[in-house]
Amino acid sequence: MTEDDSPQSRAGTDRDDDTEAQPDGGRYLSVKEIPETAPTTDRTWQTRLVDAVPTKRRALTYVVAITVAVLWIVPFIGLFMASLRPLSEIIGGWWHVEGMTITLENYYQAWNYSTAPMGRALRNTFIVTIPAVLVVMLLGVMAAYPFARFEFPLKTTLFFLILLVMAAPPELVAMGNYNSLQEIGLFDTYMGLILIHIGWGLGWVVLFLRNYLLGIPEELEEAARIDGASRYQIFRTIILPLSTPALVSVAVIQFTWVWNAFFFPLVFMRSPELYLAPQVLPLMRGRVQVEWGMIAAGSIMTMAVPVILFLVLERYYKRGMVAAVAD
Amino acid sequence: MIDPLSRTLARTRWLHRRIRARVGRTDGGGSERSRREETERNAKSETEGQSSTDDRRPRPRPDGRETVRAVETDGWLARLRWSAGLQAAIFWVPPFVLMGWFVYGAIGWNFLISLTDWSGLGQPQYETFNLEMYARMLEDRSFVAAARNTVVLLIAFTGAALGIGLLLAILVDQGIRFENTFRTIYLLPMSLSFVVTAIFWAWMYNPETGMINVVLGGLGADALAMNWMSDPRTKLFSIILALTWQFSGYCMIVYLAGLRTIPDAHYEAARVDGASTVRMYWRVILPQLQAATTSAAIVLMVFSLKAFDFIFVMYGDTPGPSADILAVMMFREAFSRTNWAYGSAIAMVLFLLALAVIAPYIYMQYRRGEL
Repeated sequence: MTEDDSPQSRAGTDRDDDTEAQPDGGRYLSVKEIPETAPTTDRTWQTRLVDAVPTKRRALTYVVAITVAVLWIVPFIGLFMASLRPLSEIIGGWWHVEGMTITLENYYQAWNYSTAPMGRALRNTFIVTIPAVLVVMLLGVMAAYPFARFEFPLKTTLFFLILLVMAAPPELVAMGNYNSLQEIGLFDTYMGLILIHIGWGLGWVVLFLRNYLLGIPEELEEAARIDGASRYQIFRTIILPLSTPALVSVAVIQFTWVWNAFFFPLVFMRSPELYLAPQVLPLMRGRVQVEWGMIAAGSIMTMAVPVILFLVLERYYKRGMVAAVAD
Repeated sequence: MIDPLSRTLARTRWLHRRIRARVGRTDGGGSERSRREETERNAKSETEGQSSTDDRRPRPRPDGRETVRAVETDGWLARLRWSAGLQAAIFWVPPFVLMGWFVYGAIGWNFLISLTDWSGLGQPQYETFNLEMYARMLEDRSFVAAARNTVVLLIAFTGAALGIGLLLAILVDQGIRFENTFRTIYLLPMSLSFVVTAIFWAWMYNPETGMINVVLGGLGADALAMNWMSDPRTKLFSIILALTWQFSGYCMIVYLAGLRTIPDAHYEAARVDGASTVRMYWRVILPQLQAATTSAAIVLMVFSLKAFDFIFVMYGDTPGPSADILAVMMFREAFSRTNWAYGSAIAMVLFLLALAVIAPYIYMQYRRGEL
């Protein structure tokens, strides 16, 4: 971005004086002139200071980046503030900070909310999410392995069936499962919801892991095969360890999905004692007066786990998000 | 690759086993044909190593002859038994049983129900099938409104999220400091539940205490302040705005991955030609992001068809004709009004819409052999 530098920063440096003479500003012809020593730091503190001041263009970039970041983060701050203050203070706007009282009353209320306490709802969410994630990881990599490596009958058909599910909206499987879960007596149980989440999640997981496995060189397995390893041994000793990074991506994204899911619990979990956290939040909006403080506290409790997971494993999350579409 | 030495070693080992297996058998003989096949196979397994597992397990047959290539010599059953298909089946069948039951089975059942006229508390009658429910949609004004909103949401939301996502990606790609922090912040909403987002925004849109109106008032634009969530003119817009906020971070990540693959030389070449920044991005960079745009757009469109959670939390199951979408309407008809068959039919229409979005893309990828 040298050419965008403002005149002030140019004036001080020696380099610019040389380059003025060259036809293209010295930028392209000088590429090959590799200096034999590291650049000497003979610049005075004044020139350094001048260089450190961003150019107009860069300053603008920062201003925009920071503004957007603030816009993105203000709702979070608002939610956080609202959750910590009594209703009387936030009703006029949470941004009035004078005379602020901090209280955990809202959290206490939400945790023990009468219809469906948040504490219980969070426990239910964990009960559903953890098996749904673990089983999807295992079954997903199991199904992805033959798709990436074997030739078998129906392969193409099955593969297109998987792609089909990617397009299916959850509403499409709601009716069928509503009936079939009632037939087999799993309606309104943890097990029923877990099974549906597993079946629903497998589609993209298989696709994602298959693409990942296609990227692993086959030679590794070849060597093991020559040594007499069976398919199962290869799967366990080579495929599973090698696909760990992809499995972490799957785990993070699937966890976020299942944890945040609203439609499936809404349809399949009908008893209040089985309500999941996202189901409880809309209930908290009372008829007469909206208890914003309590809702804010509930929201923070609901989002805490996936957000922490996201912040810790962001790398895997991003990789999964990009790869999931790049197939 | 495997080095020549270990390859030779492996081959010797393989031959040894082979010989041992033969000696252990009584007749030890093989027909001329199987010997020829063996040589072929030998060469084959050396080059691709694909089928060598089968070789090391000599399978005795009643006639004492060793079947090397079951595919050619045996019947259908044996082929099924020994082919890679069976080995593959061990891996893919359990997952597909689950998917078959809870996804494909459910879709099939949904389709069947949509052909009946099941409603109320009784059981569905699977004797007469007709398209009555689909015909009913055409006359249902709320269906037409919902379908229109769904399409508007699909286009507007996808466009907005892609646009903002691209701008964010370019912004982050300028080599700014704390790039990772900015990226994390922009992507943060993606990890939130739609439910939390809806509550967030319901609060922001609140006409008296909501931030948006307060900020607008503070800027002296009181005229613009309105009852965002209940005014029919702004309902859909409010939804699109909130969804864009949540998903543009995702577009940013996809675009950023695309931008990073473009060589610096392209930027420099454009600069040398004296192109302005806007022109450079529009003419040089954007065309190279086509693949990223397509795949991100597909995902966003499919998402927008599923925007149920968001609207349901904001408005309940009757958002009114200006914010109703097919997904919400399906829930309302099926689970609130027990018009099961009608709800199923709406779900099918939603599925067809999603297929219409995704099918050309999959077909294109398939044609290009990128699948």
